[in-house]
Amino acid sequence: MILLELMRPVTAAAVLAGAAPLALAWRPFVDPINLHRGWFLLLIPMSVLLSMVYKAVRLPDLSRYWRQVAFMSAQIIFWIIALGAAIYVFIQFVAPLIVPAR
Amino acid sequence: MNSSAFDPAAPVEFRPQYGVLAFLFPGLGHVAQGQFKRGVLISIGLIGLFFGGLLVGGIDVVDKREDRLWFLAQGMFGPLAFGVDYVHQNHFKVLDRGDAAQRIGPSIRTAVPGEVRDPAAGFFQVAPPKKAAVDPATGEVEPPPNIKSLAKVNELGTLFCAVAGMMNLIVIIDAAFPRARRRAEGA
Repeated sequence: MILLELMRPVTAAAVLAGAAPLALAWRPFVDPINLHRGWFLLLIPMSVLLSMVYKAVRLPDLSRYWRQVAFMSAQIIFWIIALGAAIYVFIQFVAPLIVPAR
Repeated sequence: MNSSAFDPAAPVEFRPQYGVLAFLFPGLGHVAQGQFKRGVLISIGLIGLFFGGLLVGGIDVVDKREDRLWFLAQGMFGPLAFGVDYVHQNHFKVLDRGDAAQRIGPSIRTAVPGEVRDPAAGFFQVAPPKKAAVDPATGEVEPPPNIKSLAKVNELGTLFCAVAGMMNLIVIIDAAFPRARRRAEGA
């Protein structure tokens, strides 16, 4: 069900097209994926792939490569979430103290 | 691979041929130095990032004409990025002739829903837009060559491809300036 949802392209195009519906079938690498609700999940593959490249360049010895990749990916995900939480707290609670709402 | 081979004080050499190979195809510079496993891992990571971006945001995320600053980063991915942009500009976009009465000049743009490329144009030729046909059986309109991505999906797809380009710059530098540890591995 989730897969079907992902494969359905952006439906705004169908609205713009007018009365007749567009023949919409998702074309991989051509049309965008419908991930407007779960976009934040893309942080996981991006951090893993980025860590794969960085650790392949950086490590003098590849014997503990996958462990290092997993650790760096976890670090990226943790700190991005922490940064998001810190910004949320600042916007919701700290900023109103600095500039009170009129 | 022997970690004891790593010597931070060892002189760094400049071997531009490996940098060029790394630019031509991600990871090829390391493979050419004899570091096959390292090169393959780099290649999988970078190709996964770049084509992952295309999978998320569609071909619209690589656009030298509309997203020039992003393409500065994406272009460092090498000829593959330039090839994808070339296909995007010449096979997917349409040539809008503009409107002289409203002083709107001609432009190359993404086809909007209800438009398709003129089929008379060549495969790698910017074609004028043509009204999309309606399927009499289903009543559905023929889709445009590609659908423009929006919002977070576009941002993340663009970011994936840009990160791939920037990481490839690190890989190119690493391939062009091999250190003692790498020579020991490649031997």
